[in-house]
Amino acid sequence: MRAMLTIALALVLAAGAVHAQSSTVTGISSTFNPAISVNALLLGRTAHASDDPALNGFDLQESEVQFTSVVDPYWKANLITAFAPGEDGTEVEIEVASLESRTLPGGFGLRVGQNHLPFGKHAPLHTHQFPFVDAPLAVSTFLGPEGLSDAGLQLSHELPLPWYADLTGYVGSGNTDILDGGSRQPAWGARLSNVFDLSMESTFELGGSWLRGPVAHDYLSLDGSDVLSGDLDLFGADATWKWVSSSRTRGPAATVTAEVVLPRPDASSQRPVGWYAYGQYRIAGYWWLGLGVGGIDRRSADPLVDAADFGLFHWEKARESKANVTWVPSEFSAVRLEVARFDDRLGDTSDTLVSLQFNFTIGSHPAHLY
Amino acid sequence: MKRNLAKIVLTLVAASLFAATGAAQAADRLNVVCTLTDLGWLAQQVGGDDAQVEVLCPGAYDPHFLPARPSLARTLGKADLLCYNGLDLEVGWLPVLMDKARNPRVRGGEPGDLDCSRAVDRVLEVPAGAVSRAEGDVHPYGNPHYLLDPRNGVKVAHLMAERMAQLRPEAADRFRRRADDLDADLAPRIRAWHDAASVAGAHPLVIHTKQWEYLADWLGLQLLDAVENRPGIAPSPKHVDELIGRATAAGVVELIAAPWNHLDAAGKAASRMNAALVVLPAAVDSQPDTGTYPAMFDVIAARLAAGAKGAQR
Repeated sequence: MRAMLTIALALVLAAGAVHAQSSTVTGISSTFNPAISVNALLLGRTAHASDDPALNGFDLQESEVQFTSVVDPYWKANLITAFAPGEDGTEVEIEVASLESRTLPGGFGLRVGQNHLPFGKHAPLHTHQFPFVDAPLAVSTFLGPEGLSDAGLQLSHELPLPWYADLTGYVGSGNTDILDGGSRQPAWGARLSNVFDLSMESTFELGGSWLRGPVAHDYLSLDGSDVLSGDLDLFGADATWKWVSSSRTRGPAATVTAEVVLPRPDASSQRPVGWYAYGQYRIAGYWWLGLGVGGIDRRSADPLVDAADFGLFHWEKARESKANVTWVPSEFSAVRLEVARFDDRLGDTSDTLVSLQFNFTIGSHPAHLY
Repeated sequence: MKRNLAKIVLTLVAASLFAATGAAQAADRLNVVCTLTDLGWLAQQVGGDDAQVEVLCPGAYDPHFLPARPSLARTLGKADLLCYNGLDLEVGWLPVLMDKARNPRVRGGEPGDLDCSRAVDRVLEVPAGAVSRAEGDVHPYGNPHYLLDPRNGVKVAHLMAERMAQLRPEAADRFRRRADDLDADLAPRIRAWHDAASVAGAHPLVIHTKQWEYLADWLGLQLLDAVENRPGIAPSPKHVDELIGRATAAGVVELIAAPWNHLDAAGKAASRMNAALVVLPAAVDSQPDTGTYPAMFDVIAARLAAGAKGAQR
C-alpha cells in the first residue's frame, strides 16, 4: 500500500512539473525539467507446495521512477529510484544516481556515481527488462538479490579491433549485497564485451567479466551468519545470439543467451558454479515465447554451513526451468504468464510457481540497450 | 634474386604511399553519417567527393524499430556530421547509439548535429492539444515522414549543404553548387512524378499505417483512413470491419502499404474492400529498383498511376 502511495506521489509530482508554467517574475519554469518516467511491475503468483505469503498472492513486485537530463555541456545525469515491498514495509533503493561525461576526448566514456556494475548480461538489467519474472538463481544467489549496484567510477573505451569490443573498468566502494562496503578497501572490476555482426539482422556477443573486492561476511551463508572474510573474486562469461528479422515491423525475432558465474572467495575451498541459459522468440508480432534453464552448484564436500532452508532452495545443487508467454500490445505495457519449476537436488525443497505479471511504463522512458 | 627482392620492396613502398595518400584524402573528407537511406543519398549528392557517407538504418528496416547493433555505434563514432530525420522518428534507437558512440562532435547543439526536419517549413499533424498514448505511439512533434514529399528532400539537401559548408569552409562552394544542381535536376522530375501520380487522387485511398500523409499532401491524394489507426497498436477487428464498410461505400480501389507492413493482413483487408494492395517503397532501397531517391519516386509514381488506370478500367 505504501508503495502504491509512493508511486502516486511521484506521479503527482511529475504531473505538476509538466504543467508548471515558466515565468520571469516567479522564476518557476518547467522548461528544463528532466525526462520523467515511471515503470511498475504488478505480480500475482501461486506456489504449488509453499504457503509462503510472498509466493502466494498479488502485490507490487517493483516500481522504478527515473529522471534523466543533460546537466550542462559536460554531463548527463540519470537517477533511478526503485520501490519494492519488503519484510519491513516498502524498501527504497537508489539504483542509479550518476553523471555521464559528454565531452571526454578519445572515445572514452566515464560514469561517476551509483551505477549498475558492468558484470555479465543479466545483472545490469532493470527488473522490468528481465526475460523472466525472477532473475536466474545464478544471478540472485551469487550477485545479490538486488543486483549489483555500487557507487564508484566506470571508464569505458572501444578497443581498436576489427569487431566491436568495448572494455569497461570499474572502481568503487563495494557497497553491495555481496561485498563489504564498510571496508576501506575498494572494489575493482572489468568487463570486455565483443559483438560480432553475423549479418544485418543478427549478432553474436561474447563477454567476460571480473570483479574483486572485500567479501561480505555473510556471502553464500544460508542462515545469514558471518562466515567469510578476505576478498571475493567473481568471474563471469556470457554468450548471446540475437536476430531481428527485417522482413516486417515486429517481425520474427529471437535471442539466445547463456551465462556462467563463478564466485571464488579467498577463504573458502568451495568452487561454486552458477549458470543459466534462455531463449526468447517473437511470434505473431505482439507475442513472445520464453524458455529458460539454470542452476547453482556448490561443488564441495565441505559446505560452509549446514544446509538449511533458504526460501525455496538449499542451493547445494539447485535447478530451475521456466517457460513463459508474453503479450506486448505496445512499447509501454506487457502481460506475462509464466510457469517456473525449482528443484533442489537434495530432494526436500522443490516447488512450481505460476506467475502473472503486468508491466507498464508511463512518461518519457529512455530506449533500452541492444 | 636481388632484382626480384628490389621489385617487391618497391611495390610495397608504392602500395604504402598509395594507401597513405588514400588515407590522407579520406581524412580530408567529411565523415557524414545519416540515419536513413533517403538522407544518405541526399548527403552523398551534396557531399560528392568531399564527403564519405554512411547510413545506419538499411532501407529494408522500418526506421521506427532498427535494432541498435553496437557496430552502428562504431560507425557513428567516426562521424563529423550526423544527419537524422528528427521529429522522434529514430527515438527508439538513435539515443542508444549516441550514448555508445561517445562522439562529442555530433552531440546535440554541436555543429555536427543536424536535425533535417528543420528544413521542413510545414510539419503535418502536429498535435494541437495534449498527447496521450491512448492514441497509440504517436509522434508528439508531428508526422516525421516528410521525405515522402520530394520537395522536402530538396530543402533537406540545401540544409545539408549549408551545414557541410560550415564544417568544411574550403569546400563550401562545391557543397552549395551540388545542392543547386540537385535542385535543378529534381525540379522537372518532381513535376513529372506529380503529373503521373496525381491521377490516383481521383479515388479515396486506404493506407495500412500512417506514414503517407506528406505524399498525399503533395499529390492531392484522398486518404480515407488507416487500417492501423493507432500507430504501433494492432487494429481492432471492429475498426477493420467499420473501415471496410466505409471504404466499400466510398469506392476505395487501392490500399497503400509499406514493404515492412504486415502484408498478409493488408492483403486480406484490401481483398475485403475489393481494392488492390499497392506496396510502395517507403524509403530508398526498401524495395528492388529503389536505390536512389529519384528511383524511389519513379516507382511510387508508376505504381500509383498504374493503380489509378486499373481502377478506371
